[in-house]
Amino acid sequence: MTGPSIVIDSVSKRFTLRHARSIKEMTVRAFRRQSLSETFNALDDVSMVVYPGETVALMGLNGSGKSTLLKMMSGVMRPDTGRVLVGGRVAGLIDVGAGLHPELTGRENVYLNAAILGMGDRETKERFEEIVEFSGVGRFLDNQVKFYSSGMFMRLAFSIAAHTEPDIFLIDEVLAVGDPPFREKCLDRIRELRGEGRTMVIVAHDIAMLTELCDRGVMMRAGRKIFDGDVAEAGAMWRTDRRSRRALVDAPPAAPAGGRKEGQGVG
Amino acid sequence: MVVSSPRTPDDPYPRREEFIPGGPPPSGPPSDPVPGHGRHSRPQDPESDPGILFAPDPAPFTHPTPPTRASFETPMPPLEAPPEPPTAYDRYAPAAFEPPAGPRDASLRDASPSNEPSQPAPPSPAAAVPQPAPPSLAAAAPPVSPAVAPEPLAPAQGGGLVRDPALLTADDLAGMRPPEAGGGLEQVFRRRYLLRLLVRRELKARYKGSLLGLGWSYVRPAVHFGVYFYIVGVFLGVNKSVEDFPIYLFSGMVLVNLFTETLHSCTRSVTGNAPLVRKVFLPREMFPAASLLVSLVHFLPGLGILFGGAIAYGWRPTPDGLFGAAIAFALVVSFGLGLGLICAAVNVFFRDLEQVVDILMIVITWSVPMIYPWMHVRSKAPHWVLDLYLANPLVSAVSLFQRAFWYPGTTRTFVFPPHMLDRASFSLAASLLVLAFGQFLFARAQRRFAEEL
Repeated sequence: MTGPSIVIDSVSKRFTLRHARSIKEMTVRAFRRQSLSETFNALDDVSMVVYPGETVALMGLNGSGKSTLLKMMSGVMRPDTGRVLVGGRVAGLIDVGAGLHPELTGRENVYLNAAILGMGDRETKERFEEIVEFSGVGRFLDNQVKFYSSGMFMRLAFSIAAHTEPDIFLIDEVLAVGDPPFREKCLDRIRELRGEGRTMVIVAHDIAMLTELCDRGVMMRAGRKIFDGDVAEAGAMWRTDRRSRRALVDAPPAAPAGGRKEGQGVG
Repeated sequence: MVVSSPRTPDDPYPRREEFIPGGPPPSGPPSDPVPGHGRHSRPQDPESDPGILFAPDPAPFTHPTPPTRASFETPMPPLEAPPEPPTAYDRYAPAAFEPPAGPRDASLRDASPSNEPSQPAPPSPAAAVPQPAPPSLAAAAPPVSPAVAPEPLAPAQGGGLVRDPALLTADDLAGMRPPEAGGGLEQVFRRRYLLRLLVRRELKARYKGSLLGLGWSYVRPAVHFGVYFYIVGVFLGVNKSVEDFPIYLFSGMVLVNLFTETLHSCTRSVTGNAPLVRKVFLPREMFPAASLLVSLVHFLPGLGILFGGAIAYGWRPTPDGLFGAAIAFALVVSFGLGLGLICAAVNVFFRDLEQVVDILMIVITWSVPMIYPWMHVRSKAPHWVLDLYLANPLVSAVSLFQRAFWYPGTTRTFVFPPHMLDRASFSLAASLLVLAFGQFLFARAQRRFAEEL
């Protein structure tokens, strides 16, 4: 039996928000007896164990600590207390565009970004055709990426990341990119990777997609894990959370019954 | 707190009138969640279930509510028809769906078939939990209030998968490592391929779209050289007191440029790659290391020109001269990278350093015997200033370069600072210490890079 794929052992993370950075601001604030900084707990004693082959949906409203948790898994951030362990190669699809350099051509970016995600030269060459094919930017491969449309940019970035063959995949909000056909392609690719027994942790606000894609849901609220289990259950909790937040937003001007409009957007 | 909802306070349904034409839904009373609400599972489609760890859910249920409203919850329904996503209403469905009574709860479903549930589980604390407050309560004290609910997950044992990290044995953790995995300069060396691509990116991106391209890396030193040569050499007359002044000037200049460019670009290397640092884990030493290599790429053509010029002025290499040059080069590289690592790390926290380093560039250029001979310091300044001046590692390095590439071509009447090689060796040792310290500091500081940027 294999060991776990990701271990999050009572991890806490506290952020410091500085209100003043320059000497002038600091003196002004000190003079007014305002605080110079405040802290808040982005993660509060979160523990979880993920096994190979699991597909975990991380849910929660904005600011609940999902992305911070994902960054801990990828190693970008370190926990203040507790520990994070991973078994195998991790690839983060955390804002996939980060590795693309606007001044370089698509082709150069494929090699660079693949290397950033841990692939070697030969590995990239082998998968190059596949990546380009998937992204559908073939014609513009030798143009600088800064001339790409935002859709092309994200498609290329996603294609590279989705072909890097990691053991652990961290996906943060990247599925919101692209037009519906490409999105469907992304989802297919994720299903394919899931079928290969790779571990996945997905953050998104599209609960319907998450419930379909994942087999385990982790619900976060204000930096704490409040639920870990069936994904539909977690999704239901997320919906309730969102409604209560909306109610809060809508509540103050006590409107008479009916006639209220609210945005349908996500999160 | 007054809730202004047009519906009853505990109505958990969307307040979109148009979606709820038929009044209360067919399922049970919405405000009365059944105790087992937290235990049911969605029906698992055997096709879509990965089936790697989890057996199909033993107690599938059918949705009592028509799922039509689900589509309003989601901005974009999937193109192909996936298994209908359960809606939030499921939780309020009648008590008919008893918990599927695994040994623990649905969340801890286990792969082992021996865990096939046979009788309903006794109500566990997990069942009573995460009932998020209805809008009214949540409105009073938003997301915090429901969060006080106890942890719904209890550790699962019993031959299954351990879900509590505290219960994992050392055996389980064998082969696991923290995701950041060390780092340090040796990691940079291990990922040479990436380093090469980063250097190439730096070189390509810097001059992309310009007509001269890499040619610009020649123009700047050429202009510097011209200015120094005419102002200091010709107008101020150093040309007459120093033999072969162009070679004297240039041999110092290539080395000082290497140092200043390394320091300058290292300082900005981490902040300049902020998106990458924030989002992707790489050994962060990559960025200063790439900056150093870019500087070296710019240094090499300069060195070639120096060779050509020196030979034209009648220079022939001498073994001890070249040995000294090698020491000087090692000194400048290790000192530059060491300081560069320190500056790169500190600059993340205090951007002031960029300005400081920019000003330092000017000081460095004039505080080495590159444009004038060192004897001016001896004759004009007090003794302690001279000591301080000669203690500068860059002074030794520049002098050694001049002795290697300029001195052999002259009539050899020039007197170099005393104990030059000793000083340089000592400086080399010191700069290796600076490099070690820089690496240590950088490794410590980089833990907080992602949150500071």
